[in-house]
Amino acid sequence: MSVIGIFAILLLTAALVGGPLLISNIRAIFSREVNSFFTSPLAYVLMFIFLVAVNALTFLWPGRELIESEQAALKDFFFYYHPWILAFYAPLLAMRTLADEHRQGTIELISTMPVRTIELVCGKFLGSFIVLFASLFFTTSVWITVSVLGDPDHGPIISGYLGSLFVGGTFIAVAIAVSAVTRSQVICVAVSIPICLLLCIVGFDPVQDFFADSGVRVLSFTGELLASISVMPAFVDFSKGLIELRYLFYFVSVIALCLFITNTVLQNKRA
Amino acid sequence: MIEVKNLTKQFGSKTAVDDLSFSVEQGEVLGFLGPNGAGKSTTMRVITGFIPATSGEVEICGIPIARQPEDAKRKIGYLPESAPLYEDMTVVGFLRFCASIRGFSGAARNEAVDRVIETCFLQTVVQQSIDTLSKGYRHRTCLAQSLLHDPEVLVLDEPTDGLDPNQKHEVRKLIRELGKKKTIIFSTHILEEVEASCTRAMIIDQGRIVAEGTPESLRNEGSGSITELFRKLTTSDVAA
Repeated sequence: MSVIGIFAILLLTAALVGGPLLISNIRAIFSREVNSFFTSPLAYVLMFIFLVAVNALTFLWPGRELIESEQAALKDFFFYYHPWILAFYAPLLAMRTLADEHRQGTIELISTMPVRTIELVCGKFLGSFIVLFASLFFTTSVWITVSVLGDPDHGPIISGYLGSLFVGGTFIAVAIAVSAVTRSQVICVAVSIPICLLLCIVGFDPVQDFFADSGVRVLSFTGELLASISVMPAFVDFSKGLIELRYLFYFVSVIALCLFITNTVLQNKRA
Repeated sequence: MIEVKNLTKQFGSKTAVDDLSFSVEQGEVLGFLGPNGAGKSTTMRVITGFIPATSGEVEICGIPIARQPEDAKRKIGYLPESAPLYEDMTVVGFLRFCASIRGFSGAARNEAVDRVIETCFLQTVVQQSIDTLSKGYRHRTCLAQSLLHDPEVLVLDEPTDGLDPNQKHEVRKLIRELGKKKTIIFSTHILEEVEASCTRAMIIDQGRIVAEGTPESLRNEGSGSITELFRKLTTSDVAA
C-alpha cells in the first residue's frame, strides 16, 4: 500500500508539472460549488436525510441504542455507522460536480479560461468536501448530547470525526473520478456507491476474520492485501483515538490517485 | 494575433478540419462562413484551447496554445455557440465568478463587472437568476463574460444566433466597435452580417477554405452576391 501511495503522490505531482496551483482559481471554483450546492433544494433534502440516518442509527438501532447503553462513548454507537452512511452520502454529494458541467455545456467555458484542469478538479473536490464538513458539523448534536448526559473522552471523538472526514473525502474523490468518465449522474452514483461499499466491506471485521481464519496462506495474504486498501482499519483506529501516520498516508494517497485519474481523464477525453 | 498553421482535427476517421491555415491581425474582424458541419465551431474550439489539434499549430499573440495554454487563454475572450452559463447563478454572480477566474479581485473586479454589464445592456437583469433569462439576455451574459478582461482576441461562435433584429443590430455594432482595436473572429450563417461587421471573410466547407477575401471581393466573385458564391462553393446536405 505504501508503494501505491508513493506512486499516487508522484502522479499527482506530475500533474503539477505545469507550475504551482493558482489558489485563487481553486478558491473561485470551490466557492461556486458550495454556493451552487446550497441554492439547490436537493442539497437540503440530502443533508436532512443524512442527519436523520445518523441520528436514527445512533439512538434507535435495536441493541445498540446510545442512551440505553449508558456509555458516554461514541465509537460503537455513532462512528460505527459513518463509513457505511458516507459510502452512500459522499457519492450523492459529488455526483453533480462534473456531470453538471457537461450537461450545462459550461465545461467549454471553464476549459477555455486560464484554469488548469488540476485546479478545476481540486476546486470541485474541495467544494464537495466543504459540504461534507458542514454535514458532519451538524451531527455534533450527538457529541453535545453525550457531553451533557455523561463525561465522554473528547480525544477519540475528535479523532473519530477526523476519520469520518478522511473517509468521506476519499469517497468524494472516488465519485469525482467516476463522474469524469460518465456524463450521467445516475451512472456515477450507481458505480461509485458499490466501489465505496467495497472499500468498507473488504476491511470489515467479519470479512477479515473469514480470510484470517481460513487457514489457507493465499487467503490470509489476500485478506491482508484487502485490509490495506480498505478504509475500515484506518477508520476504526481513528475512532479509538489512534491517529497513525500510515493511515493518514493511505487517505492522502487514495485521494491523490483519484484526483490524478480525474485530471487525466478530463484532459484526454477532449483529444 | 491569431495564427493558424496547417491545422487538422480528426475525430476518429472523420476529418473535421483539414490542413487549415490563416491569420488574423489586430484591427481585423474575420467572418467565418460555412454550412453546418463545415468545421467552423471545431476550428474555434481548437483556437480557444477547448480541444487539442490532431496536427498543426495555433498561436495567439505569438503564444502557442498547445504548449502554453494558460498564457494564451488569458488573451482570448470566447463566446461558445451554445452560450453556456451556470443556471443556478445570478447574472452578476456569474460575471463576478468569471472575473475572479480572470484574475480580478476587490474593486477592480466590481469595476470590470460593471463595465461589461453596461457594454452588453444587462442592467435590468443583473440580479436575475440565469435560468429565468430569455435567449437574448443569455447570449449577452455569455458575451459579457468574454469581455471582462478586455482581451486582445475575441472568438465568437454565432454571436447573433437566436437574437431578435434589434439585438442583432446591437451586437453587430458592438463587434464593429470592438474590431477597431481588437482581433475578432466570428462565425455566422447570416451572410448579411459579413457585410455589416467584417473586414475580411472566409468560407469553409468540409474543413477546408474554399474562398477568402474582403466582403467586396467575395461579392464580386459571386457575381454580385455572397450568397451565390456560398451556394456555388459549398456542399449542400439537402436534396435540391
